[in-house]
Amino acid sequence: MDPLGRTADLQAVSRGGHTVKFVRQTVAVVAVVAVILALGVVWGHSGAAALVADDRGGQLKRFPDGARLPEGFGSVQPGRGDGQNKGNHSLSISNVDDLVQTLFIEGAVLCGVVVIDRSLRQRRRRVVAARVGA
Amino acid sequence: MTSSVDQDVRADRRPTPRRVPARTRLDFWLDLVLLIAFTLDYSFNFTGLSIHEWIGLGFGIALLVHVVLHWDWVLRTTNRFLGTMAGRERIRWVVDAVLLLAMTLCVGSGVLISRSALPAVGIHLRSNGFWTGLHSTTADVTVALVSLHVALSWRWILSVGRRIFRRSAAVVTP
Repeated sequence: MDPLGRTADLQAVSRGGHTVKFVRQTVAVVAVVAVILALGVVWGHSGAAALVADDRGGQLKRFPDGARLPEGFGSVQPGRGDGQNKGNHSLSISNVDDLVQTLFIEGAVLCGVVVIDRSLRQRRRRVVAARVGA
Repeated sequence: MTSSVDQDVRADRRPTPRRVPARTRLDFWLDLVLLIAFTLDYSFNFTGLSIHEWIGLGFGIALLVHVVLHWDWVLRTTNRFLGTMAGRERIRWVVDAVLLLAMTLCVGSGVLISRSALPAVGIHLRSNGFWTGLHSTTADVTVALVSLHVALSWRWILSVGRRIFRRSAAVVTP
């Protein structure tokens, strides 16, 4: 008997039920993910793909960094995230400002929502208190 | 002056922190891991390509587990969304739905444009500018929505966090 008063047989049935439920939910989530990815593929083949397409990556001819271009065009400069950044495969402590920037964005949104939420709740409380007092 | 016996009696009367259910603890720690992983992953110049891609792959799997664990909530709120639902809950549902969409596309496109993690295990996928652009666009949308998603649950995070850390402090302190 377990603390809930179930016999060993009932416990086994309960465990089996949980497993079936978990598998069913996993299948449902994987199906949703597959549908979203399929929508992404359809988007990629539609005219709307240009909305997000990175020109440097596919639609324009890409020259290797440092390549010599025709007379008067100089040479190809590494773009943001290319060359030194994308080529850098390891942790870069000198770029910690990138992490700080991410934390700042998350912190700013979090603080904004908390301030709004608290002020809305206080206003609701004042309204309720005024109604009770009236 | 108080004797040590009095102090012991008073310590026994102190309210013990409420026990946090195992499932709530799992949700809390998994969500925290997901938040840290996403924050690191979005800071691409800090992590570098290899770490970025490996964290991204792990993040994708953890995200799948997170959604599976909350699938009951998804079904329940979706049913209520079609009927009557409070404004705040409605906002949360829309944020979560767009976040699921953006994150799935972000992880999916990230897998397709992988240049380090997947080639390292012998998988070479073909991608084009669309998937690269989609990856960076959805990542930008996701960072805003992740913050909003966390912020909308700040009371739950605070309450569970307090209970978990108070309890562990109470266990450590004799």
